[in-house]
Amino acid sequence: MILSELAVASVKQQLRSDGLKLQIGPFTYRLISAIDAITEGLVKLYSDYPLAPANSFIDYPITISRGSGLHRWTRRQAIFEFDGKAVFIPLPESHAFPLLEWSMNWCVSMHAHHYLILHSAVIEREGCAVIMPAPPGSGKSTLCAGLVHRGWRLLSDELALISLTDASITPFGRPISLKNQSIDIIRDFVPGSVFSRVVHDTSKGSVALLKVPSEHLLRIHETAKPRWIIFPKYVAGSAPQLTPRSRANSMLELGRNSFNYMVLGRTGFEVLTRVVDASECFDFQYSQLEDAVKVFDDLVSQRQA
Amino acid sequence: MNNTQPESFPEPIDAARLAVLARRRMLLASLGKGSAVVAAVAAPMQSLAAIGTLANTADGKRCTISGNMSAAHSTGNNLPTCAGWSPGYYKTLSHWPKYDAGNTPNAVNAINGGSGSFNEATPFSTLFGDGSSDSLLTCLVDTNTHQEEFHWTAALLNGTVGSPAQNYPYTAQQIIDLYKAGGDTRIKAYAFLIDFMETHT
Amino acid sequence: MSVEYQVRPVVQLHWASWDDDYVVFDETSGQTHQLDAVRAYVLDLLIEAPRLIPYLAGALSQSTSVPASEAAELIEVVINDFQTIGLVEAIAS
Repeated sequence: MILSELAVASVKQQLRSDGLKLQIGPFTYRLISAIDAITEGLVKLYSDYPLAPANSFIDYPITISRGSGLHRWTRRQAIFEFDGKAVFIPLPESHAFPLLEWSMNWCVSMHAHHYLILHSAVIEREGCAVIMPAPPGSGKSTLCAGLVHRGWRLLSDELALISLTDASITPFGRPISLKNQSIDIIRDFVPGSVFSRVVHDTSKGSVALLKVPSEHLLRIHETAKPRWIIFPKYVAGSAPQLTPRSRANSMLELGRNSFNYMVLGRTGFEVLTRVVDASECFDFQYSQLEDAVKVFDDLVSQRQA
Repeated sequence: MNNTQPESFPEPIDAARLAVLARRRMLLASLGKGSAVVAAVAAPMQSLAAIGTLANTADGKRCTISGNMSAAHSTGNNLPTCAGWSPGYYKTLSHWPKYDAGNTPNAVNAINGGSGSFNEATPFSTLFGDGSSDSLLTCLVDTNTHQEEFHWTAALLNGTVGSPAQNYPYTAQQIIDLYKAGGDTRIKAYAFLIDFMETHT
Repeated sequence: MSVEYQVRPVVQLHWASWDDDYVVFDETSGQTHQLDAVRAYVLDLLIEAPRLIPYLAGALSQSTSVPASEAAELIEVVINDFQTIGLVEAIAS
């Protein structure tokens, strides 16, 4: 059963009682919140995700609660609680849905150490995955959002989950977080795209989440092998440039962009070595999404076996 | 052991030794000649060390979750509390340091770490060298047309004496200098300020 | 008394390499280092046995055609780097 098969009133009721249980890739979340924006966001963006059976083991219990005391009525707050404990300082209630998204990512990045977890977008075509690590502001999410609407399957826009046994990548596709000008760029690039309400004045500026194409979710249990590691960088007005880079240096950069490379010790080193062994590494500078689409298409069509 | 001439290899050769020999052959093949060797050594070594990028607030809670997700890390560590306030907080003029409702302008502040002063009516470009010619307060209030000035102004205020920011790592003058540096320095500083230093809303 | 250099006994190294680029992981400290071919070569010699600077300089000079005196200077830089990151230590020989 998927979320869209539940009436909105039922979604709301579950969120306000013992929780809405969602299966997202390899993880089961239990979500609890009385904040309307959470219901609205889930109904709009998670309609195609399966509901977990009632007796499922819950990997991550998340509550987005309201502030207490005066903060229930003025300067209303949203608080992320993990397993009953508030971990972060509160945010304004208007930020509740982005807070839920960040919370879901935090749970995995902090706990799922049966994967090597890289802070990167990952997309796939013809069984070949592109890992795109990038610091904030590099245009990674915009690029990811564009490519997944031009023939690439979304594995994740934020967290690459690398198997410790065979270095395959497990999909964890969730709504893509876009900010500021990127929101309008993708609205234009993907007519009919479904977005959450835009939330302003977050620490990242204005933020909105883009719904994942439903056909990608039908394949959410299908892993992929790494084939390219591409470090994107948006540079206004630039022509597209794909430049080979050192694998050794790419390995260190991936390690820097990992949530748990250090935690995993030698295993992390060995897995990351396998990922780099399997991949060609590039820097990619771009300014236009259509240019990027062509470059990535050429990668696939010109690849050697 | 003879330390003045390369050694001859011992016999018999076991698997571990074979691996060492294979690596040595590969290394010898990799070595360049002459100036390439000098250039290789001249380049600094790169290492990957443990990264602890989260700071804790005084009550043990972490700083912004969104900032946390923007900075991959592998281990937490104990850092002093550090926190700045978001641009949204400073949209309210009475939140500015040295705010005085009875004066005009209302919030005159010395440029901490430098010389001169600014207030809510100071044009952004006067202080930062370029960017919008609108006032600092306008840059905070009118977000849509002042995307970058919005955050730089908050950073300026966070770095000013009397702001509620805790252990803010830059003075107001340093913020201005980071902006004026331009290029990659400005880009990286901007990313850092947004993701880590706008802790409170 | 002369000084030799050796890889510290607590260090446990694992290697990866692509073309002329090398990465070593020290399991004890969890540190990962990118090494150019020269540093990798010197480290490999030190793994084999403790070495004097003249030996390392001679080996480098022989393998690369770099003059011996220049090779000695390069070895000093490399050894200093390795000591700084805790891979190598000086011992009295």
